[in-house]
Amino acid sequence: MKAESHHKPAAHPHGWQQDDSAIIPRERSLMIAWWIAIVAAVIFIIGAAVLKPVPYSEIIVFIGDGLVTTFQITIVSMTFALILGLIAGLGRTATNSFFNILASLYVEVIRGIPLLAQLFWIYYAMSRFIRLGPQVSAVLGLTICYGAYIGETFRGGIQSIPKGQMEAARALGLTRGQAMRHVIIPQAVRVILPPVGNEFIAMLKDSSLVSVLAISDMLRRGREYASRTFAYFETYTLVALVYLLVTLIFSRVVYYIEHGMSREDKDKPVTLMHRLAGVVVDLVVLDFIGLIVYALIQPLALVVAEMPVYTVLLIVMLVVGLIYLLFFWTRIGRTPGMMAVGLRLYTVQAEHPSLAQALKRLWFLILPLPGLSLLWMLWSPTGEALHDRFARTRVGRD
Amino acid sequence: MSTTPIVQIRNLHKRFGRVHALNDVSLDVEAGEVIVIIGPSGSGKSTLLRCVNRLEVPTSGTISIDGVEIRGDERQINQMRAEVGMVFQQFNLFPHMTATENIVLGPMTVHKWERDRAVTLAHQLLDKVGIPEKADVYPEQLSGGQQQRVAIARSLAMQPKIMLFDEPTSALDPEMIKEVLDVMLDLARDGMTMMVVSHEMGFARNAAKRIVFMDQGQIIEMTTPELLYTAPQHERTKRFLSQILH
Repeated sequence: MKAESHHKPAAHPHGWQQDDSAIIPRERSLMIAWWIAIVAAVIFIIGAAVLKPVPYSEIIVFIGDGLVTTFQITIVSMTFALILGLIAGLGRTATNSFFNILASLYVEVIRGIPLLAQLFWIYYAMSRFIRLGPQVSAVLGLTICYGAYIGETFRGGIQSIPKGQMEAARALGLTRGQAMRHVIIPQAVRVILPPVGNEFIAMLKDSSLVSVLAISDMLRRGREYASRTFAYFETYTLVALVYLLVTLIFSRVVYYIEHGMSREDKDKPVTLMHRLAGVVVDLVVLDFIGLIVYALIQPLALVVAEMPVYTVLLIVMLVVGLIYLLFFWTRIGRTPGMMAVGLRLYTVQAEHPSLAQALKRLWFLILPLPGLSLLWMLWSPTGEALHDRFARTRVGRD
Repeated sequence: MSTTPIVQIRNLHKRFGRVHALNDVSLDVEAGEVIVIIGPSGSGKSTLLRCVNRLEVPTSGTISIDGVEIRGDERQINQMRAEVGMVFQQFNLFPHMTATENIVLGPMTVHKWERDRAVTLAHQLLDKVGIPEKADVYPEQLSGGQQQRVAIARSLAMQPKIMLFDEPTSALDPEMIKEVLDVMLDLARDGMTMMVVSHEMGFARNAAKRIVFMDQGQIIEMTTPELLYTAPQHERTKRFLSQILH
């Protein structure tokens, strides 16, 4: 025993292990803090709703509609912001100086103006020329603002890939497009995805600013409830906690995305949290798809009278979800969500599973349901469609 | 016996702004020949190599590969590159792919091979470069020497007629240089046409038929390795050799 303890300090004379151990507790304390925060938030919300249902569960139902709107605004704006960001990012990396200056100008101007001022400008100031509805203004404002930030993220991601990668790919005889697809973009995505996830969270929080445009997002719904009942403390506490809860969940997902990307973590065991994080990413992706499906189904409802839009939407999204899952599973063995958090179901060298095998393996994974916001939209205590609920619960100034 | 040279470089010039990186370089490489290029840094030896597979576009002059003059046409260039393998100083393996995936990418995307066929070839090539056990390992987990051997296998997977080596051992720790040079020696013995920028004297002596000394964008001297190392003709060659040989 004595000899052993004597040997120990000599094994690491430079104390590098101490540095190492200093990093791990910090990460662990973050993890513990996360668990404390999320458990406390959940306990408070559920406890309050159960023990004192009169304001609390009423508030939850009331602001629940607002959360849907918050999600919808965020998802729609994020879709456009990603497109705009890609254009801006490519413009910023372009060799053509006209596009480069144009993209740089956009980024510089937009980053220099607060989002709230942009929203006011688009909604009120621009009404002199063109009158935009509050929803359009909100989406436009968030898109333009976040497009600039995401554009910078894209630029950084593409430029972070060493020049030698493109050269090596081209030297093999790949075309520029093939090299981009197989070599540059897969690497750039690893760099880009975590900051884009963070932008998504930031946008989710910043979307509360659109409440100034008379959009019934979660914050505004809270304000409506509070101004009617004067339960300011209860309402805003719950609003804050729900924001916190949602943000905590997504920030954890981003954490797993960041860490799943690094190779060393590949050997670590896959935990339930990993899987859940993957499922959340898949849900968000399906949310984006659901949005397009929804936009396609709506005009159909105008043609086909008495069409149960939401039932059709649910069925279509379930089918889309299943196809989505099976498609990625049979082709590359992972869904995008699993890819994002660095999960693999089988090694590359193994046989690709057949459709039947993939179906069988579905048992092991929670089937990603249609997008979160779409579920929310369908869920209603009274069975009413969301926009009807809005109409009914809007509070006057009395 | 003498056929047309597989690489024909004629009056090649390359300018980077004001720098004249290649100044009227002409060089023929016979099929199956190993040619080593040496010279001080900035002498244009890497540029010459990069012009051959057109990673750099020459300012003027012509390069013919296998009797076909390479012009600006994208498709022709891609076709040529598929036949001219290149190994880089910094390996440039694709870090998001395993060794096998690195090797099969070329044949599968350029030659549209089936995956099974490409993987079989990849395993053969990993065997050839002496690391069959590293097939499913990511570059990060490989030593420099192993990475460079995977990079050589990746180039060989395209079944090139010519291999270009741009300082393949310069970024390696001394104890790993030999394992890479051994692979290159094997290739040379198999009759691969090779253009090698390297200051490894042992390799030049053992494998190269000719050695080229370049300085300031020009070919100063071209002879056999034995003659160059023992009896250099030009003052600049002597000065350079005295520096690298100590």
